[in-house]
Amino acid sequence: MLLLVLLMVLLMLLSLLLTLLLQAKFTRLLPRMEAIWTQISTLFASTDDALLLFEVYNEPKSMTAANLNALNAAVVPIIRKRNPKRTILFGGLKFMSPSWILANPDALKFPADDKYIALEVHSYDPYLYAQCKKCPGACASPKCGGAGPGCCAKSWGAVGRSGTVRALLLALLLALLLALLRADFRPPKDHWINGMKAWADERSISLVYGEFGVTHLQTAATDRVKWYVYHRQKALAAGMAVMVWDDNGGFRVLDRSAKPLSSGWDNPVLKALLPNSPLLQIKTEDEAATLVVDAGAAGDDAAEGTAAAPLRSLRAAQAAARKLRSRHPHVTVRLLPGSHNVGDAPLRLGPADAGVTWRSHDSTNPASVGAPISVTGWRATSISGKPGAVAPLPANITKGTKLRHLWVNSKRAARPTGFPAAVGACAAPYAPATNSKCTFNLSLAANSSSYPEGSGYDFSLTSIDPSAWHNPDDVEFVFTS
Amino acid sequence: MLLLVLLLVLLVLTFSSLSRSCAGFNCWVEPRCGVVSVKGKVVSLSGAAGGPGMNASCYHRLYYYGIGWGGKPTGKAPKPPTSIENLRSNFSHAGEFYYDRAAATIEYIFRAGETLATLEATATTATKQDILIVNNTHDVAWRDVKFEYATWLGSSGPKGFVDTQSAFIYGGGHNEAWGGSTIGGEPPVNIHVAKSQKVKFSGCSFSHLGAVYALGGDGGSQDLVVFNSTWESMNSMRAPNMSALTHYICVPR
Repeated sequence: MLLLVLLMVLLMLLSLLLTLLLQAKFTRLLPRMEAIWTQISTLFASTDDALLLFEVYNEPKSMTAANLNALNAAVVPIIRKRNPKRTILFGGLKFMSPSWILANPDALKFPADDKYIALEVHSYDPYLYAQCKKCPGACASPKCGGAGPGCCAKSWGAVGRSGTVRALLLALLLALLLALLRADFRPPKDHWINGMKAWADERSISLVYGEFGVTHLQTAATDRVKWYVYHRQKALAAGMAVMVWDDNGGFRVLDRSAKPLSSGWDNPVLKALLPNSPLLQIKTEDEAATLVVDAGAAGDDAAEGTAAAPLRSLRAAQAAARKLRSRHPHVTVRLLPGSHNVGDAPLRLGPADAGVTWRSHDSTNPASVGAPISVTGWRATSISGKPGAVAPLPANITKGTKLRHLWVNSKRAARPTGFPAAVGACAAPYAPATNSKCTFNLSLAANSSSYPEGSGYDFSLTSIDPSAWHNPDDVEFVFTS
Repeated sequence: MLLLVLLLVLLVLTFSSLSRSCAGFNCWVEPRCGVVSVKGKVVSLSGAAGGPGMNASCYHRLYYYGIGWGGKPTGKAPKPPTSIENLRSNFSHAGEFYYDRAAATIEYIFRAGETLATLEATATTATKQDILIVNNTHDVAWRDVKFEYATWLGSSGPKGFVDTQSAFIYGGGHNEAWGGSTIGGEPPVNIHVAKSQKVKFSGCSFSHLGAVYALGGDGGSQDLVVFNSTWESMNSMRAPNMSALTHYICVPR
C-alpha cells in the first residue's frame, strides 16, 4: 500500500516537473514566435486580405490551454499592427481537434471586438477509416472494424462505427442483405460538425474546416468519395470554410508528377469537392469522352483513339469526336507532341463540333498544328561569292506553285530586295526630281487622265534591262507607305 | 516658356514625320505589284494593263496615289516603287532565299554560324492560307497548341487589297470615294473564326504565319477569347483581327 502511495506521489511530481519544464520552454520560445510573426506580418502586409490568411500555430499540442491563449494574445497584436483586416485562425489543442473544443468549450480565448479571427479545426473522422495506413491491431479486431483495404476500417458510417450494431446485423441478416447495407451510407446523426456549429453560433465565431481527407487506401467501393461529398456538404451547410488536405502522398488529390499537371487531378474527389468549379471543365475529363491523336508512326486512323491505340490524323479525330458527342456533352481530343499537319485543306469545325476541346497532351511539349513542308536535299553552293545551299522543290509542292515564305532554323528567310542601281536622270513630270532613287519614268498611255491602261514603268533612261530579268512574273514592285 | 517651345517643336516634328511617311490614304498596306509583262524596257504591273479590275492597291499606287479624302485628286505624281523584290540579281545577302519557279529549286545564303549540317528549312504554299476554320459553332476550345506554318499569296494576285481599308480584299468595281475600288471579302487570316460563340484559345502560340492576320473573327462571332497565348516570328501584318467581334477578350501572356 505504501509503495502504491509513493508511486502515485512520484507520478504527480513527475507530472508537475513536466509541466514546469513545458512552461519554461514556452516562456523561452515565446519571444521567438513574436519575432517570427513580426517578420511575417511585415513581409506580407501589402498582400490582399482575400488571398492570404494567417494561422497562428498549426495543430497545437504539448502545451496548456493557458499557454495557447498566451501565445494568441501575444501574436495577434503584432499581426494587427500591419494587417488590421487579415483573417487570423486560432486552433484548439489536440491537433486542432473539434473534440477538444467541444469538451472544453470556453478554454480557448478570443479577443473581443476582432471580427477577423476564426476557429480552425482539423478532423479525419473516424480516424481508423480516414487515416487508413496500417491498422494497429489484428485486422478483424473491433479497433480495425474488419479487414478493410490496408487492414483498416472499411466503412465509416453508423453501421461501420458500431461493433454492436454490426454484430447484431451479422447475426440477423443474410450475406447478401449485409452487402447491401454496407453500401447504404448512413452518417452518424451526432456528427461533431453539428456541435461545432452550435458552439460557433453561440459565440459568433467563424469556422474553418482546415484539414480533412481520406487516404487512397480507401476506395470508391469503401465510400471514399461519399466521405468527401458528405463532409463538404455538411461543413458548408454549417457555414464553414473548407480546405481539403493534400500531401501529394496518401491524401493526394492532385498528382504533382502528372504530365500535363492538369491531368493529375483525382477527378471523382475533385468533383465531390468542387461540383460547380470551372476547373472541372478541364480536370474531370471522362476517359470515355477523350480521344488521343499521335501524328507519328504509332497513330492509326482505324484505331480506337485511346492512349494505347491513338488515332493519327486530326480529321479522323474530328469524325470520332462527333460520334462521341452524341453520348457525351463534352469531348476532349488530346494531341500528342509532334506536327499535326492539316495538309492541303484547313481543318473545318462546324456545328457538329460544338463542345469539343482540342489540347496538347503535354503542355510542356505542345503539339503543332499547321501546314509545314520540309525542304530537304540541300547541297552546298556559292551564291554571289557567299556560302549557301540549293535544294530541289519538295516533291509535295507542285512545280509552278508560287512560294512566298521560307523559314530556316525557325527564322524567316527574306526574299531578295533592293533597287537597281540608279543610272540616268529622272524625267518630268512623273518622276519627282527630289527622289534620289528614281531610275525610271512612269510611262502613261494616251488615256492616262482616266484609266491609263497599257502603261508601265519605263527603264529606257537607264542601263537596266528588264527583259533580262530571270522569272520576271515572280518579280514584285513594292510600295512601302 | 522653354517647355512650350519644346512641345511645339515636338509637334511639328511629329506631324512632318507623319506626312512624309504616309500622306492621306495608303497608310494601311504595303502593296506588292506583280509584273505582268516586260516589253523592251517597259515593265507593266498587275493593275496597270487591266485597269481597276486588277490588283486594286497597285492600281491605286500607280494612278491614284494623289487622291485625297473624298476622292479629290491632289495633283501629286503617282507613287514610284520603294523597292523591287525577288530579283535574282539582288540575291546576295545572308539570310535571303531565292525560289526559282522555272527551275523548281530553292537557294539560300547562310547566316553567320549556319552550315549545311545544321540547315532545317520549312516552306508552306499558297494553298495553306487557312489552317483552321471554326464556322457556325460554339463552345470550342484549343489549349496549349502551337499554330504555325501557313501563308497567303493573294497580295500579288488579281485581287489585292483595297487600298484605303485595313487589309480588306478588293471586291471589284471602281469607286473613287473608296480610293479606287470597293470592299470585297474579309482580310485573309490563317485561323478563322466565323459566326461562332464561345471559342477559346488558351496557352497557345501563333508563329510562322504569313496571312494578313494570324487570327481573325468575323460574322458576328461572340465571346472569342485568346488567353495566355504568344505571338512570335510572325510574317503577318498584325496578330489578331477582332474588328467584327463583340465580347472579345485578348489577354497577352
